[in-house]
Amino acid sequence: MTRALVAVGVVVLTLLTLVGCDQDPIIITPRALDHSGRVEFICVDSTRYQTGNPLVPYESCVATPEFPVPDNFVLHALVTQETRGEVAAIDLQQNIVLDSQRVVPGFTFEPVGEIPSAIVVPKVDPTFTFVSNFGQLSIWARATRRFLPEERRGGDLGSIPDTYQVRFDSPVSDLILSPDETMLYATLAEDGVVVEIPLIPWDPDVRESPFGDEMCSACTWISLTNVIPAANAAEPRADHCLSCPVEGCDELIDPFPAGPFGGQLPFPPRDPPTSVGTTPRPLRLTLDEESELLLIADERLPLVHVLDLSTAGGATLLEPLNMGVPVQQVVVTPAVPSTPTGTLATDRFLYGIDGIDRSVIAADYDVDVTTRQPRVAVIPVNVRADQPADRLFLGPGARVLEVVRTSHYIVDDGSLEVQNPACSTREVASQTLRGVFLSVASNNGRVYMIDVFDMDAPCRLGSVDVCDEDNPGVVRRHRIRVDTASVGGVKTTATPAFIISGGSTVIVEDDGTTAAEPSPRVIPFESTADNECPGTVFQGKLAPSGDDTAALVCGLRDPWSVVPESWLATWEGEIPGTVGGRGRFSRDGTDIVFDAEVPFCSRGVLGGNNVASLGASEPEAGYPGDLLVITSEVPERAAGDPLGPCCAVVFGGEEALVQLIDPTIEHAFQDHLIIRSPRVDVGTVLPFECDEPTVPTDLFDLLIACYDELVTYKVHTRSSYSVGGSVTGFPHRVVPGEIDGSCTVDTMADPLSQGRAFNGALYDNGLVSFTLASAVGVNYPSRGDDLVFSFVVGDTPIGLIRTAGTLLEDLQYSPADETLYSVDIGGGRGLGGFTMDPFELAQSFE
Amino acid sequence: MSGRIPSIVGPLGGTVAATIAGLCLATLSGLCLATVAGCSLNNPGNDPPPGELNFPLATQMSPPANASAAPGYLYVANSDFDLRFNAGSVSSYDLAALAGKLDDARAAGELPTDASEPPLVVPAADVLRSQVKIGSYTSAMVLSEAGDRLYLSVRSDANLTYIDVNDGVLSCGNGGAFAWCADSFRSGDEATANPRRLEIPKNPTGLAVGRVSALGLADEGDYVVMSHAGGQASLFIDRSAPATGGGRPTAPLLVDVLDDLGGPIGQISTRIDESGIAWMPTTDARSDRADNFLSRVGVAADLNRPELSYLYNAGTARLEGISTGEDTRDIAFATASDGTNFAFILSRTPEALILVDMDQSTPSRLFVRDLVSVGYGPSRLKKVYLPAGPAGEPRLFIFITCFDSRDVFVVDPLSSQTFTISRTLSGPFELEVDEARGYMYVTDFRASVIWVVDLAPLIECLGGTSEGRSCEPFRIASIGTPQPVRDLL
Repeated sequence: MTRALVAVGVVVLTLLTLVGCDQDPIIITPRALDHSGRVEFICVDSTRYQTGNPLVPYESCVATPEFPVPDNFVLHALVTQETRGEVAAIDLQQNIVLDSQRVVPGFTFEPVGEIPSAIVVPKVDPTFTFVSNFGQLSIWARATRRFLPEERRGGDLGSIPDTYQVRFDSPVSDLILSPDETMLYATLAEDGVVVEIPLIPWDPDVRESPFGDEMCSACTWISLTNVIPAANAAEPRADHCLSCPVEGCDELIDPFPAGPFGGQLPFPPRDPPTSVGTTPRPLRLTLDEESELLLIADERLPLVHVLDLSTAGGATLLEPLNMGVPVQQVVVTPAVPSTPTGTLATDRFLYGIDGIDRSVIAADYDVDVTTRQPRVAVIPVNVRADQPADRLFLGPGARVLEVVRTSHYIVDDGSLEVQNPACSTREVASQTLRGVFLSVASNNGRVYMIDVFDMDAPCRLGSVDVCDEDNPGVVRRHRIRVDTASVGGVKTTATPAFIISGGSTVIVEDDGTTAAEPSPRVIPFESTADNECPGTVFQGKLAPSGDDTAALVCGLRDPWSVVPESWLATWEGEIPGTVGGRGRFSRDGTDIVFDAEVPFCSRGVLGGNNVASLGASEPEAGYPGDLLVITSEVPERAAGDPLGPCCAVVFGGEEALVQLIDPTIEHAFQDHLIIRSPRVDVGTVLPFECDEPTVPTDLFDLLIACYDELVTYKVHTRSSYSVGGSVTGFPHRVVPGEIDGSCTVDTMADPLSQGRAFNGALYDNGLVSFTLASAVGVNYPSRGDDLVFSFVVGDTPIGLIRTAGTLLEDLQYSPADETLYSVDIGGGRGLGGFTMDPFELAQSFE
Repeated sequence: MSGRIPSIVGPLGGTVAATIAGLCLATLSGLCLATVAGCSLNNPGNDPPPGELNFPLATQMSPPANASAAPGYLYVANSDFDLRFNAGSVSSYDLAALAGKLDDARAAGELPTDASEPPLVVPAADVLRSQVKIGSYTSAMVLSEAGDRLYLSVRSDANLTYIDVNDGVLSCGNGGAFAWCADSFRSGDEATANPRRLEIPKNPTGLAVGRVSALGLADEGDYVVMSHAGGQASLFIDRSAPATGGGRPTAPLLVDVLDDLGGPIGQISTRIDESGIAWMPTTDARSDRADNFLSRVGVAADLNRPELSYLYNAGTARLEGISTGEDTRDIAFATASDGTNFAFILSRTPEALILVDMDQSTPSRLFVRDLVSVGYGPSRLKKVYLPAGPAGEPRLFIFITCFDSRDVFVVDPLSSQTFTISRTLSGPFELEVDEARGYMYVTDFRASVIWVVDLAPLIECLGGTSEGRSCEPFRIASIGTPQPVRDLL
C-alpha cells in the first residue's frame, strides 16, 4: 500500500513537473548589431581562411556573363556600429554575423574609435579599411583582415598591418576614395574644407602608415567657396512615360510651363537661391565615376562643390553647382536613353535631398568634355498647386539616396548603345527592377524606388499589344515607381454627399440635387465650353464610377501629385488653426480691437479691408471678411452688478454674439483683428435688462464690458464654404505684412490657392473643383445653417515602397549580389538586403 | 461523507482526521498570532538617513548671480522609489564646495584623466547644504526663474509641493535640519483651497514654470502647468514676489484643471514654448488613445481676477513622416541662426531626437525635418549652448539621457549629428550643465548617485584644441557612493 502510494506520488509529482515545464522555452538571442550606421563590402576567398590572405578584390565577387563567381568567393558586409565604436563583419553567403572574439560572451566586433561616421574599403587592394572616427577627430586605417574572426583571417597573422590614424582639429563627416584609389577624400564640415589624403601603398617590409604620419603632412586642405554661380533653366523635353491604358500618359500634366501659343517653355531655376548660413559646410561625398568628378553636398549653401579628380598631382576645384537650396546628399546616374524605348544612352541626371524640406530634387546633369565643368538644371516634376514644381515629395522626408544600376544595364562605351534591351513580361513586372533606378530611404524607415530607366517597361506598358485593361500601370521618369494601379485611375471613391443639420447624410444625385428639403445642389460639369472641367489644371473627371456621366467633382488625376484624402466644404465653417484661448476685446478710438495669440494671417484669415485694394481679377477681391466666433460663455458677474442681467441676456445664448452683432472682421493682422458689425439696427435690440445708467448703450462697448476677461474663440468664413482637405488643409495665399503685420494677399502666389467656395461660383483650388449652389427658390444655406459637402479622392496608385526598419542611415547597392542594402540605425533590422527581382526584403541581420 | 475527512483509526488510538484538524488549527492560530504581532499600524517607517541619495530623479541648478558667475547650488529630488523610507527628499548641494574638492583632488592626482579610470567618490554629506523631506515618487521638479522656489509634482501625495530656497537653504514650513515639508507647502490637494473647488487629478507628471508677467499680469510671481498621466492638465498661479530674506508670503493656488486634453493620455512631461503654449509629450503607448500626437495646452490669464485664469486645449500636434512616434518623452525649442524655429522632440519609437521645423508645420501637423538616432531608453533632454570655434561662439547642443543604454548623447541638432557620447553612467535620468565650471551633473536612478562629468574634452574639441584626443566627456566623481539596484539593471 505504502509502495503504491509512493509510486502514485512519484507519478503525480512527475506529471506536475512536466506540466510546469514549458515545452517552448523562450530563447533569447542577444542582439549582434547596435546602432548600425554605414556599410561597405569586401570579397573574401574562403579557401584561404586559414592560410594566406583571404582578401581578394571586390570584383572577384561580381559575376559576368562569361565568368560566374566561384562559391569560394564570399561577399561580406562591413557595418559600422556607431555607439559601440566598432565595425561588424557579416558573411552574406552564409547569412551570419561574425563574432570576432568568440571567447568573449556576446558579439564582439573590432573597435574603430568613437562614433564611426563613414567607412570605405578600396575595391582593388582591400588591405586597409578607412573609418572616420568622428568622436576622436581622426581617420583610422585598420587592417581589413582584423574585422574577420581569427579563424578566417588567413595565415601569418603577424603580417597583418597595424592600425594607423591621421588626426584633425575637427570631426570628419564623410570619406570617399578616388577612382584609382590612390587618394582618400574627407569632409571637415566644421572647417568648411575637404582634405585630400594621398595613400601610400602597403609594403609589408616597410610597414609604413598609409597616411605617412599622424599629422597629415602630405595632405592638401581644399577650401570651398561660398560664391554662388548663376543657375540654369531646364530645357523642355518630351515626357518619359509609358502606361496602360496607352492613353494614360496623355492625361498627365506636363510640369514644364506652357508657352502662349502652346508647347513648352524652359523651366526657370529658383531665384534667389536659399542659404542657411554664409560659409560652406560640406557634408556627404559622391563620386561621379564616369567623369571622375567628386561632388560635395553643402548643407548650408545652395551648392554642390565639384573636384576634378582626373588631373595629375591632385584634385582641381571646379565651379560649384547652384542647386537653389542647401542639399544633404547628391547622387548621379549613368547615361540612360531619353525615351522609354530608346537605345542610345545620352541623358544623365543628378538627384539631391533638399536640406530644408527634405524633398527630392531631380536635375539634368552633364559634363563638358573639354572643360570638365559639370552643369545642372533642376527639372519640374510636380504639378500640385500648393507645392513647388521642382520637388518630388515622398510624404516623409528623404534621408539617403542611392542609384541602382542592375547588371542588365550595359552600355557600349563607344557607341553609347544600350546592350541587351530584352525585357520581362512577367506578372509581377512592376516589382522587377532591371535597368537604372533611384532608391530613397525616408524618415519613416521605408525605401522608395524612383523610375529612371526601366528596361522592362516597353514589354508591359505603352502598347495595345501588351496592355491588359484589368492590369493598368504606368512608368514615368523621376516619379515613384507604381507597383499597383487601380482600374480607372484616380477618382472619387464614394458618391459626393451633403451632411445636413443633425448629421444626416444625403447622397448627391447625378443631376446634382438631393432628396433633402430644401435641397442643396452641386452643378454638374458638362462638356459644353462654359461648364467643363477646368482644363488647364484639371485632367479628367473624378466621377465615382469613372464613366462618362457628368462629373460632380473634377480633379487632378496625376497619380504622383494626388494624395488620397477626404474633402469637406463646410458652410461658414471654421478656418483650421484659428481656435484660440487668449482673445481680449478693447477699444482703440473708434476701432474695436480683438487681441489674440493665433497668427491670423498665417492661417488665412481675411478682413474686408485686407482685400479692398486688390484688382478685380484676384479671387479674394470683394470678400467682406471672415467671422469671429466667441466660444466662451459670458463671464459671471458678482451679484448686484448691473451688467450681470444685461450681459446674460444679450450674450448668454448659444453663439448669441454672432447672431446679434455679426462680428465681421474688418481688418486682420497677424496678432489682432479689427471688428466691425455690418448690421446697423443692432442698437435697437438691447433688452430692458440693459436699461441701467451704467450699462453701455453701444453694443460694442457692451461687448467689451461684458467680456472683460480673456475669451476663447475661432474664426469662420463668411457667406461661403470653408474648404479643406484632410491632408492638404485650408488653401490660402495670405501672408503677414512686413511693416505692421497686416494680412496681405500674396498676388504672386498661385491664385488657385483658395479655401473659400461661394454659392453658385466655380470653386477651383488646383486639386479639386466643384460648384455648389443654393436650393432652388430658397435662401439656403444661410447664416446659422449646418451644411457640409463631402467627397473622398482615392484609388491613387500604390508605389513600390518597402519597409526596411525604423530609421535608415545608409543605402548601398552591391552589384556583386544585385542587392540593395539598407542600414537601420534605429534598431530593428540593422542591415537589410533587398533583391531586385522581385524588389523585396530578402534578408536582415540584427 | 462528502465534505468531511474520513475517520481512520491511527496508530496512537485517535483519528487521523482529528489529528489533522488539530494541527491545522494550531498552525492557523500560530500564523494569526505571528501576523498580528508582525503588524504595527502605528509604525511610521524609517526616516531617510540625512545626506543619503535614494533613487534621485529630478535635478535643477540655481541660476548664477550674473553672466560670468558660476551657479551656486544643485537641487536634487530623491524619489524613494523602493519605498525603503517613509519619505522622499530634496537636497541642495554646494557646487562651490564640490568644485573645491575636485580641484584639490585634481591637484593630488586623484581625479581620473580618462573614461577608463574610476571616479572619485565625494560623500554627499561633504557638499550637502540643506535637505527636506517630501512625499515619495517625485515625478518632476522645476525652479522659478528668480531661483527662489522649487515646485515638485509628487505622485504619492498627488500634489504640487513647493519649497522656498534662499542661498541654498531649503525651507517648507517646518524648522530643523532635515524636516518634513509642512502640509501648507503641498497645495493643490485640497478642494477648498481654490475658488473653483477644484481637485487636482491623480498621477501628476510633468511641470513647467513661467513668469506670470508673461501672461500679462502685473505680479512678479510664477505660474505652473502640471501634466497628469490620465490626460489632464492643471494650472497653478503663484502671484507673490520673493520676499527679502527668502520665502514668499503666499502659496501657489490651483486655479484650473483641464479634464480631458482630447488626444492621447500618458502625458509624461511639460515644456512651455515661446508663445506660452505648454507642450506635453505622451508615453502611454498601450492606451488605445495613444497615437503620434503631442498634447498642447494654453494658459489664459484673467488680469482682473487671476484666480479665474484658465487652461485651454490648444489642439494636438501630430508627428508625421516617421515610423511611429507613439512614445515621446521630452521637448525643447530653439531658433536657428537663419531664423528657422525648431522643436526638438525626444522619442522612444524610434529612439531618436526628432527635429521639427515649426515654420513648415501646420497647426495640427508637425513637419519632421530630420531624426538623429540616440541610445536606448531616451528619457530627458537639455538644451545647452557651448562655446565653439576659435571665437567661442555659442553653439546649440542637445544633451540626452539614455536610461537603458546608460549614457548621455550630445547631439548637434542643427547638423543632425551625434557629436559625442558620455558613457558608463549607470542609470542617467536628468542632468544639469554647469557651463562656467565645465561640468555636467547627472542624476543616476540606478546607482543613487549624482555623477559629475567633465565636459573639458568636448569643449576642447569644439574649440579646436583637443589635439586628437577623444571628445567624450567622462565622469570624474560621484556625489554619494553608488548603490546599484539589481531589480533595475
